[in-house]
Amino acid sequence: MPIPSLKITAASLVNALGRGKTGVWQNISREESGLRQARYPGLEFETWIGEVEAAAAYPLEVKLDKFNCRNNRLAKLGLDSDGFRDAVENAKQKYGASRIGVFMGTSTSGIEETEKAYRHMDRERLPQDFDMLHTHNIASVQAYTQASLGLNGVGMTISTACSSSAKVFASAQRHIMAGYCDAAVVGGVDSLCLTTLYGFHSLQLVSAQPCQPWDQDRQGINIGEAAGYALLEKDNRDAPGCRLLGYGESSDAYHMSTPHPQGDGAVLAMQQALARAGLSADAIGYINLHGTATHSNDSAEDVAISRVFKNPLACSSTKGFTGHTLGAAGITEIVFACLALEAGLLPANINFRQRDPAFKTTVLTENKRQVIDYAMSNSFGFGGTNCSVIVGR
Amino acid sequence: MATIYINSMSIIAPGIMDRTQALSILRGECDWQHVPMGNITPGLLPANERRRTTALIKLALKAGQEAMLASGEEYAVASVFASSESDPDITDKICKALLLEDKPVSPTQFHNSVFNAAAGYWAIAAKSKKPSVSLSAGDASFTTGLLEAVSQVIVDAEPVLLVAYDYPAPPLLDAMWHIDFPYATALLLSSRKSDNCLASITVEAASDGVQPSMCASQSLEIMRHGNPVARSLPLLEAIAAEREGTVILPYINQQTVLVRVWP
Repeated sequence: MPIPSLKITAASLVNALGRGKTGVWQNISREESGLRQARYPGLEFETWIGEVEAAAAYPLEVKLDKFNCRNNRLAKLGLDSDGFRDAVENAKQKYGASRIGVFMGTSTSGIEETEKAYRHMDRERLPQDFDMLHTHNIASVQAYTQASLGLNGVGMTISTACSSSAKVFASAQRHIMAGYCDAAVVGGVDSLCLTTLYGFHSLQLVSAQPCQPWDQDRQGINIGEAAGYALLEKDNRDAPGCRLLGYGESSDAYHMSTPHPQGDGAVLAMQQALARAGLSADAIGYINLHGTATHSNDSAEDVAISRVFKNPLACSSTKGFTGHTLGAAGITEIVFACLALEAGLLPANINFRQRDPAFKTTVLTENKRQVIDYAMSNSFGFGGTNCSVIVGR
Repeated sequence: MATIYINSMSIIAPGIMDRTQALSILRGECDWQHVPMGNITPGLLPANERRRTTALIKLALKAGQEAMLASGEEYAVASVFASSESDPDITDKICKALLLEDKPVSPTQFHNSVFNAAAGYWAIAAKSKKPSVSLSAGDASFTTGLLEAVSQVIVDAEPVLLVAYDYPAPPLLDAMWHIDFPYATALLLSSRKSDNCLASITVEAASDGVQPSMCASQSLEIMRHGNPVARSLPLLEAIAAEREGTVILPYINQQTVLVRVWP
């Protein structure tokens, strides 16, 4: 059941490593992490975070000020990076504003505004100027992106926790194949908030130290924030850029916050991505792991990979660089996979010290120069949602 | 335009607690009356899991369960979960916990706070490892979920369960986002016509400058304004009527989606 591939004609990244792909990739090339000891208003336990400082105050367009919240400020930073707006303008000339869909992923949208409104509650009422629909509502980031880019085609926000902005590639591909649009802007934005910091903390999943994916002593996640966008067009093999080759999606049907221990759902997602791409497991040259650094995630993903890939291959989690950017992890790491293909450089799994004796797969302990043709990115989330995406040169 | 078959349908709302009731109200055989809704028990979910769920999750699961039961088909199908706001009650509880000393957010409430919580419990209840998308497009969430489900049927030629649901917010948030009552609907869409098939449809995106359809029944027209997902009602009426017709559903950006329906 292979599907027609799509061309990724433009992409942008903003995360703790920097604004724009060049700066971000430079830090990856130097194996320098963007994680810092956490300072965030109201945060009273020790951890490290992947913060985008500019997201605190970056201005939105005056006419779109009703959308103003940390999440949409981060979205605008993403739209203003890497010449992404120009690429969308070109696509508008080609297809028309109504034929370009917008598919966004987020887990918590602008919930920081709701947290603030509760802090400023007066006589059992939230402040008058709190605009829940344009900030907190899950659809806000898609509505803002569409308005900011001047697009008016199909669109949605997918919110499936940490797989959100991987699944946007699948929905965009389907809408193009079904004829509902000719091209698509896909993306993911998630921003720091007390809900996720204290929520993951309540589940004892947050590390007080820099996170150590795949390490024997991994203590949990560092939360990060990020925005990322990609423009998908029907494949023209002569144009430069990576191609979206396949996606696979599944449900664990096991537990709300713990992955299936044998990685059953993850196996299905990876196998379906390979089938849609028309590739055998041996063709994949690099996997960007979900690799959150929680005990159960890394161990389930390790089992799943060993069930699908019989021969050893290059793997790394890049969450030691960016933190776990939750609903933005998919887009961030799929664009990382594209950059790895283009640069012939496979990123290291930084902060890794000691191999877990139970693990079958190994990770790259330092950056590796290697030219490869195909890479896979894994994104799994609460609720037992799994998504794998394959990109190629 | 590909033909999609509606092999099953359900509504769960105040005064509509099962499929027989739903069909007779949709066919205009009796009026909809706003009878306060009691506790909902989606029997499919094991009791220990059910204990941890919220009223919103139970509402969504019940709608999905009613539709699958009536279809007579395997429960393990791909799914699309669509909601404007998901669980405002959980948001309220977490934001209040963040005001207290040491910010004691409940771990169960946190894992239930993910927008795809209903889909996660559904997968456990239906024992389904199939793909599932949870999405929002504000007030247009039902129509957007319909487009996603139809795209999946067109591309993968496998049945897809669409569940759309919204639940009223507790007082503080209700002042910001008010809806009148809980409402959930589920449709089983397929590229194959089953013996229980209710209707055939085609779905066309974004036709400009046309007004969305109203309900034929006056009582349902009142209901249509009471919950974002109840904007699905003109389509459900047309499906139940077993007549040929066209329904215009409101979509994002003041646009509409055109659904052609025939028996």
